[in-house]
Amino acid sequence: MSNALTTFRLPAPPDCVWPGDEATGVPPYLVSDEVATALKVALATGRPLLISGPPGSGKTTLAKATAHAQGWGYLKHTLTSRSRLEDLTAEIDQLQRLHDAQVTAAGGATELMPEWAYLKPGLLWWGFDAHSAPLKGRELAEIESLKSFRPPSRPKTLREAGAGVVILLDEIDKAEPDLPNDLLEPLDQRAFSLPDGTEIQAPKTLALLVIITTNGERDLPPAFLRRCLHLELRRPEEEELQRIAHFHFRDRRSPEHAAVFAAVAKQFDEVEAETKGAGRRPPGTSEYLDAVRACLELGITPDSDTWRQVEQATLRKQPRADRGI
Amino acid sequence: MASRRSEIGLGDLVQTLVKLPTGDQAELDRMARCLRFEAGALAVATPDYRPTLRPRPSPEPLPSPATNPAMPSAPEPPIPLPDEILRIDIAKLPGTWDAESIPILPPEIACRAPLELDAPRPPPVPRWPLFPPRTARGLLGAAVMRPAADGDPDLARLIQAIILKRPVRILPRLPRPSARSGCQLLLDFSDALAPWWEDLRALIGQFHALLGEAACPVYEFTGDPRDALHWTEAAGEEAWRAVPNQPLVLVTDFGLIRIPGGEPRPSLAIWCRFAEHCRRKGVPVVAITPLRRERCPHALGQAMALVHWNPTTRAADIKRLIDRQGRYPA
Repeated sequence: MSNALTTFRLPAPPDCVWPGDEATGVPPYLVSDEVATALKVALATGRPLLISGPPGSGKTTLAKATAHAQGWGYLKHTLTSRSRLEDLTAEIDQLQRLHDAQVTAAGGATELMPEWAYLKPGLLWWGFDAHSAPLKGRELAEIESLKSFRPPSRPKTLREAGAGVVILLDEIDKAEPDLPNDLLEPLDQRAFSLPDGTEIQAPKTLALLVIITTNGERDLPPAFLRRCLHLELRRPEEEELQRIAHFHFRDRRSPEHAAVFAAVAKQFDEVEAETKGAGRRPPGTSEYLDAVRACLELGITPDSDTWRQVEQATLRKQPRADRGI
Repeated sequence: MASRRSEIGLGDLVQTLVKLPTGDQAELDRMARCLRFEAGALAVATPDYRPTLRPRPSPEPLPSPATNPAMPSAPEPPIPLPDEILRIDIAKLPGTWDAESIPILPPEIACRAPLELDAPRPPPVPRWPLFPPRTARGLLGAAVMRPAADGDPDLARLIQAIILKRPVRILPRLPRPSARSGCQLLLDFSDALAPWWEDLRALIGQFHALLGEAACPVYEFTGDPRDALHWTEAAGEEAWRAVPNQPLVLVTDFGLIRIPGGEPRPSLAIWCRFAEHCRRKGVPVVAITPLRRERCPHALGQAMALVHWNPTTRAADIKRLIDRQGRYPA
């Protein structure tokens, strides 16, 4: 069994919850059997884990919670239509290079450095090899000989002594249709090449978990899908929602609060059924938690007069067909 | 760098089972699903399992049942059938024709095989899309991608600026194809195109798979394309309007296919006005048509990229029509 698997900690039953950490903004995460299996299989096979599911179902939070629970580094990049592979691996800062060249020519204090010194390490570089990224793939002696060298800033969520890294590539369905195919090689090989041909390779001892999320807004290339493990996060049931609220609002454990959790979960189910029937997007777990939080902070329950406004703002978010609002 | 890993297969399955040994069937099902195998592909224990790779050893002589208590008992003898055969009465039902009185059918009907209402229907013939799934993604992508100025640095412009001693405040970049602007789909659902209706629906699915529904609204028309409508539950009917710089994919025969008694088809003048309208609004038009390019009006071929809706069409054909700078036929 690989090292990552032997040290990988899953939450203990019966709760099966990673408690999270309020100080660092990591919420509690209820780890279902499906999630636990998918994480273990991803570590066993070294394949990226593609997570799909409705918005607000905890796809992004899972990566953060996993990194926190394991004491690993966490690197996140939200993909957009402008994302390119070079943003994730390495890119030469041509504008800085040009600036330095002009200042040098004008007799300024800055010196023009070799091209490699202008590399900007991307998220995959930091994730695969956090030691070579600040040195831009060179030896320390080479760096020290450059007086104008500016070391890149290390991502704050990357731990110094972490045994592993969780890399989250969020919302891949927003990226250009070709980007998933561009990612195949770096993710398969845990390596990529710099513009000068230097290869950046993740050490075999590094526990690396690559999580990719999609909202399913568009299909991903078949070749990409065939190389990813798949986990579909389903919408939690009423009781599961209450459990999630229970762990999210641990400081409010009273029968009154439990009644609010249950009542909002019931309303959530009704709204979900209604929106599904109307062909609209049903609310997600995060929206349920928003509704609960609003109730707790405002001191109301779904029986209150103001509940309809809270429901509209947190769960429905779309005009009610029957009321025309 | 080593070659790319292969797709997920049995190797991954074996690796998983070796590293994560489990005897729980539910856990095995979850593992199988995660690896995109069917749930139930893995079984905890199969009693009839036999290794297929190793040669089977020659069977040893079986011990007699008396010496082997684990052997199953002998099967019970079959139930004896009664000697007496049940009596069968065959009688003519009232109202049936006698063999002699059956009317003689006309020869053109008599020679036909009788209609078998209860006969099993043959399975439907699978439809093969006009743009095959293997090539559709690249092909449709080539049709809707527009150049976006966020590619590699444009060294030529950069060097020019340095030579002329112009300050470089924004790094000039080369264009790269991008699908971020989405596209509008304008589909001709007139009666004359009825044989292609299923293909039109398949094409909508292919575009939505590539760009997503939100980035690819579908408008339908039967006559003048400028009267095309898009229907949504929230907004109801919405008339088409040109969006500058957003590609427009038009699927039509340009009114060239006529059917007897069919609805009036738009004339060439209408299509030319439409093309001119799009040109003025800055809308690049790609027309996908079941007709060969040679059959389409020459005037339209100059105003829009005409793509033959045919399995032999390739992405390269479309890229040739829309050159690398994103220029459409003028």
